[in-house]
Amino acid sequence: MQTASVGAVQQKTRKYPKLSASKKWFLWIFVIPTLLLFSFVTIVPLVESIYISFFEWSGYTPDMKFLGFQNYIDILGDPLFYKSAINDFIIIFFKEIIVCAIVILFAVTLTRLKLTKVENSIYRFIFYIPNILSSIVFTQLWVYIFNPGIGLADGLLRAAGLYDWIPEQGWMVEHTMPVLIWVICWCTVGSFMIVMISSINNISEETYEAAEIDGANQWRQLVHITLPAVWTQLRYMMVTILCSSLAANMNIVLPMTNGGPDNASMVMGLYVYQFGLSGASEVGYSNAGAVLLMIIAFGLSFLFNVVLLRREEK
Amino acid sequence: MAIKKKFSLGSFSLRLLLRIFLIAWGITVVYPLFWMVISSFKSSVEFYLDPWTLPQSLMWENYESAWVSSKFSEYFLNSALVVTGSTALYLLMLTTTAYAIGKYKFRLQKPIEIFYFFAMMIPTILLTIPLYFMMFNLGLTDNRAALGAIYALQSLPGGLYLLIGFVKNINNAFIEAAEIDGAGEWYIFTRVILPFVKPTVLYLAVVKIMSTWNEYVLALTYLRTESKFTVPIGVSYLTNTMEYRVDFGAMFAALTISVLPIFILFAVFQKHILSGVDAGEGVKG
Repeated sequence: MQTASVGAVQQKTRKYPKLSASKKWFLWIFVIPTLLLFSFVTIVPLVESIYISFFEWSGYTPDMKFLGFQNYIDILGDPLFYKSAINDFIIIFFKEIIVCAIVILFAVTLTRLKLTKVENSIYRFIFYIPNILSSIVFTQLWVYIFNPGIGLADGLLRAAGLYDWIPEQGWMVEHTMPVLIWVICWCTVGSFMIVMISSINNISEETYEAAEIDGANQWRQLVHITLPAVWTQLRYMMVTILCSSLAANMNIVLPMTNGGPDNASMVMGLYVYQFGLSGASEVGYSNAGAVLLMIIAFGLSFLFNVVLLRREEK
Repeated sequence: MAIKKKFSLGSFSLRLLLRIFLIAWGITVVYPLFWMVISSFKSSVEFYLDPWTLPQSLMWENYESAWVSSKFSEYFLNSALVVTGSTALYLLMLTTTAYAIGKYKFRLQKPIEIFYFFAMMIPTILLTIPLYFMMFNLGLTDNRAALGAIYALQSLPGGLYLLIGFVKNINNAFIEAAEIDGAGEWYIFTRVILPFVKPTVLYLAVVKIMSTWNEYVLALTYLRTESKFTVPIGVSYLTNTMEYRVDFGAMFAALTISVLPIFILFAVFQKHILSGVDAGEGVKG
């Protein structure tokens, strides 16, 4: 047995011819240092965050107190954590529906409805703009648009004579979550639309021509040709939104509301961030939150993949 | 031509409806930016009276105020330094690693490739806090160079994922020919590999420049001294102080300044960035 496995190993090594000296130098000068530095800023903190999550630690002093799973028990007993989780899922739920619907609608419109070429490229250019802006810039713009009094949203309603619709305490206070969901969807659509357009363009024109000869209208073409053809792409998009949002929601929530008013818009990422870096600096507790969040994210994407794959098999 | 014929009256109204959707969404993108620019030329009084009107005269003083007294010249320089250093480091690490993983045959080649692939799934933003304390203990927080290095390293997996595929597609005959001529690795890397993957590297560089220029949460966490702030932190600093010192003109001018470089870059490289579309059209012929 043992000799056989040694033989196998030797055979395996023989599969790789010896690297020349200059290739070895190349590896040692560029590839290995890159790998080590990369591990230092991702794998080391990842392992460390799991380790620290079992301790009570302020972050700035060397004393750490071992707590076992106490941090996890405390987090799971904190109503604010549940509220953040619910907010995350509300945001993701609406984000999935709204973004997917709009991306499909726009991508189909820009590919199947034969708009003029100029029109097409203008729309693509404009719709992509939110993706190139810094989150701090567009969140501040939307905060001012929804600002009570001077904001454009109130001004628009006043101009339309819909005085009753103007929220008395301002949009950011009375309709915090809808405003956040709107801004989050607004800044997500562009890049996914570009990807979706290219996968619709990959569908062969003959399929559509055959459908037209059979008298299929635009709606039937969408349901029977386009959607099945881009289903893989769509699933990829939904999983990406799901997985990235749990961590990325805070990119928008932090500059827009910082979780306010009165924690109404707290999300899990921000919860973790605030406990780690606020005055209290409960770093162990915050890391336990980060670990939980990663477990939830991986679990969800796994589940989502399984469910969607099964539906595809049917 | 057959396609044109099929659009009878029924699909005309459908197209009209969809056009209205497209235009409405376009307005939600363009109008806030237009509003930002016109507001940057107004005085605060003008802004308060009616945020909708065009400015009576162009208040270039707002830009002077943002650039000089709100110190955006400093933030701009900091951002430029971080972006340049970070992008240069990123491209060096990215291209060399992609070449070695794509073309060398050695035992660790596959494990390293898989390692980077799985690392792509780690939500790096969740590592911000443990990383912050690691850097704090090394005395590397509030340090622009360290921040730039973190930006470069954390965006490696995504870039590698794209680039390795392109490197693998390069015909080995080119490399072998160079080797027979006695070319060293550096020569092969710069004269044979890089020219082939230039468009992809250019695309990755532009995307990287944009994301680094825009990055907010990490910079907010790491940078503490005002003289080291990057532009996004400067913007948030300015909007936070807006509660005490009302100068909307200068604030919108600062926002405009912060968007301008990225917008120019996007306009110049829009073909590369929106190239997913071009590739698709190319296939369609």
